[in-house]
Amino acid sequence: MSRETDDALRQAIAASLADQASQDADDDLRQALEASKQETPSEPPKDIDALTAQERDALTIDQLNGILKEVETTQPMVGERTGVREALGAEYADNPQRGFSEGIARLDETYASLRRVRKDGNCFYRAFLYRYLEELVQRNFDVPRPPTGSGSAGGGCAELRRIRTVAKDSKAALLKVGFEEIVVDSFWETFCELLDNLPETSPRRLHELMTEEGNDVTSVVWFLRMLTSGRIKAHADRFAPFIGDDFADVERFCQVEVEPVNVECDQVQIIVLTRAEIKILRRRPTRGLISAAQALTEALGVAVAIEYLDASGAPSRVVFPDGGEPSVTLLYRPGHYDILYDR
Amino acid sequence: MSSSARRRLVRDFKRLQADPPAGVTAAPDDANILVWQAVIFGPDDTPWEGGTFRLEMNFSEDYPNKAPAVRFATRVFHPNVYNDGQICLDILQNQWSPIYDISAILTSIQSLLSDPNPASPANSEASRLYSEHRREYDRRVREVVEQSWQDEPGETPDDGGDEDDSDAMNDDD
Repeated sequence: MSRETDDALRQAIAASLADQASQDADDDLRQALEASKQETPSEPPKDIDALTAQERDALTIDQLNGILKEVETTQPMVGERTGVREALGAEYADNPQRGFSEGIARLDETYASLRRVRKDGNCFYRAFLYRYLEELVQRNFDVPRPPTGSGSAGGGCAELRRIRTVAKDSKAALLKVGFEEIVVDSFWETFCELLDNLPETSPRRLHELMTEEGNDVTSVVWFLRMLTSGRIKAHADRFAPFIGDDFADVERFCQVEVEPVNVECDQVQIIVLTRAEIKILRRRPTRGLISAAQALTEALGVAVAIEYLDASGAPSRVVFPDGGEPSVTLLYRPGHYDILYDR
Repeated sequence: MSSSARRRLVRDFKRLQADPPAGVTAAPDDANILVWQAVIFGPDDTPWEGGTFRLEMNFSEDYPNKAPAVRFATRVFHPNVYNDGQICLDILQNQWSPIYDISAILTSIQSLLSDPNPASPANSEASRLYSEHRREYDRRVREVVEQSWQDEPGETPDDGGDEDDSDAMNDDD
């Protein structure tokens, strides 16, 4: 990574830490928690001190599962395309920080539309995967079909051929940084199969695959976490300055922030616990997600643009890696990623 | 129904046989590969030395994207294990990741035995004795070690143990 990239990364981190990130992520989750509470008005929370450890854990886990369940039943994994203002305007209409509404108006001018992505802690990886594959399938459809029997093996556009090679080679890279073959294999195979099948996948079929519950795409979403983690570990010296003081080293950072199946669970848990007025240290997921964005785009060789919407009123756009030609544009709001489409 | 869970479990099993970790064994039920019985031997040079502790592992079709449900089927006296055998361990809950296979889960539980996490107490008495009366704690651990030798499959922690102090062991309120 060039010096410029380091600087861009540093700036992005500084900007994101300065904004109201965690506060607003909390608000999101608090709303979800309120909603889930209204659905199950069973018992008011007892005085936390009066609970046994097991009751307390059970309460936390119940609330957590309730929120996740609610998110699963009310939010599609990936929604339909709508205008930016249409998608987000109402959510921020009453927000006292007017900068959000101003920022949405600006984004609405710049971007044609937005797809919402489920807030289940995998939004960054899922949004990226969806948009990247969507573009690939579209591009692939635009390539004239070779006449049958022309001997063109594999088929597909140049980018598809490139990413299939990257995917094939990724296993060796993961084993090299210490992942076990037994763990890598099934996820890696699923990812390669998905790419192998893309030449025969229509845009419509892709949307179905990406939005059905409980199919192999779940494994691919997690495989992106593994690629991210692998990249960070392979370049530990470079990423170490960005992981913050909460972690002893990048191994630990990856173990806690990247590899678990649903990192934002922690966020939800923090809300649940703070509601019970147990003081705990706030985590800083934003920093981790920025490192993840850099690592993943490096691992796949795919550039991503991220628009940061915050209370400043002026969204800022950062491209990972620096100077890349992004084929994917994501909208980051404190605690969440959605997909943006150019005009 | 996805078969990837079963494929992965077969791989986990092959690995356990080819490269068995020290002090743990596990095998699936004959009738159902989603249900496993495991045994953890107490780590040497700790009060747990000599103990043989059975566990039950229940996998779902979502494994390894979701953690298995794991509980001790033998009674243990431990700060992070509830009386019904459920285990309070981050990698089985909010820190679950598919990088953990059956070997890794069991060796993590094995090291939890001799290295409890006082920050998340599941058994308040064990937790208190561990931090305040280590000798008494060690004595209670050695009791469950001895009980583990009489433990037969089919018993649950709550109906096991007919020792004189079994009431005290059950009492976690």
